[in-house]
Amino acid sequence: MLILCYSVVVLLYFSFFAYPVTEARPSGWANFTMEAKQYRSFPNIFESIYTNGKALVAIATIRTISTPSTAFSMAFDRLDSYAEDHVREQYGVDVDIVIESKATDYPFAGHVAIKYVYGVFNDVLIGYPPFQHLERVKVAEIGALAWFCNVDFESIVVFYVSPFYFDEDPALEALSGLTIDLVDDISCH
Amino acid sequence: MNPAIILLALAALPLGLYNLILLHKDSSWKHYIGITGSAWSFSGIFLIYFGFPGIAFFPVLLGILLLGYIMRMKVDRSRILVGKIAAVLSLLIIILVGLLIL
Repeated sequence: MLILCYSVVVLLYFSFFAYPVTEARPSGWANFTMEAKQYRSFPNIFESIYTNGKALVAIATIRTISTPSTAFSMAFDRLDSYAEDHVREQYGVDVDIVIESKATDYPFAGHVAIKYVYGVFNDVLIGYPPFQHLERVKVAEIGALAWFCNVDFESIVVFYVSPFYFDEDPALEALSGLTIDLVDDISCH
Repeated sequence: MNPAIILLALAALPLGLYNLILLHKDSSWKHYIGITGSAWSFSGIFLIYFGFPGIAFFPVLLGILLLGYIMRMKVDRSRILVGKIAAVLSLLIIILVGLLIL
C-alpha cells in the first residue's frame, strides 16, 4: 500500500515536470525575427530567440516548483552560449565580456528577479586623421534576467544583447531602444 | 489555473490519505504528523500560487518531519532514527542559514 502511494506521488511529480510550459513572450516583436523551440526535456523547456542584426533576445520558460537556482543555472548555461555566440559573430571575436553588476532583488514584471549585466568591450577607432586612435569602448551590453512565475509554476530566464556604441551607426541607438522595450514587455504568459 | 499546478497539488494527497486510513485502524499521533505534512504540502502549492514565498515552504515541511521523528524517539531510540533526525536537522539548518545569508 505504501509503495503504491509513493509510486503515485512519483508519477504525479513526473507528470508535473513533463507538462508543457506556457511560454513567456513579449506582446509585440514586429521588428525582430523569431525562432521558437519546444524541448521534450525533463523538466519541460520552451525557448524563443528574437534577433535583429546586432540585437538578440533569448527567452527560456522552464517548469520548476519554486526554488529556481538549479533551473536557472540550467537555462543560464543554455542561453549564455546563444548570447556569447551572437556577440562574437556581430561585434568581433576579440571582444571582452566583463560582468558589470549583479542584483538578486531586481523588480521585474511584477516579480523579484535576478539580474546580471555584462559589458562587451572592443577596440574602436576614435576621431579623424591625424588624431585617430584606438580606444577600448563598450560596444554592447548583455543582460541576464531570471524570475519565478508563481501563477504558472515556471521560471523564466531572459538573455539580451543590446548595442551600446552608436557613434559609427546612429541607427543602433533606435535598435537598442527596441531591444530594451522588447525585454520590458516580457511577461509570464 | 494551470493543470500542472493541480498535478503538483495532487502529489501531496496519496501519503495523506494513507495516513488517514491508518488513523482509522489505530489513533497513533504519528499518523497526525503524516496528515499534517500532507496538508501543508497540498496547501503550500496554493499558497505559492497566491504569492507566498516558496523558499519558506520547505523549512516548514522539514520542521513537521523533524517533529514526527523527535516524537517517535520517545518509543524508539534506534540508530537509524537518530541518523534520520541528524540528516533532517542538518538540512534544515543549511536551508535556514542559507535563507539568512542569501
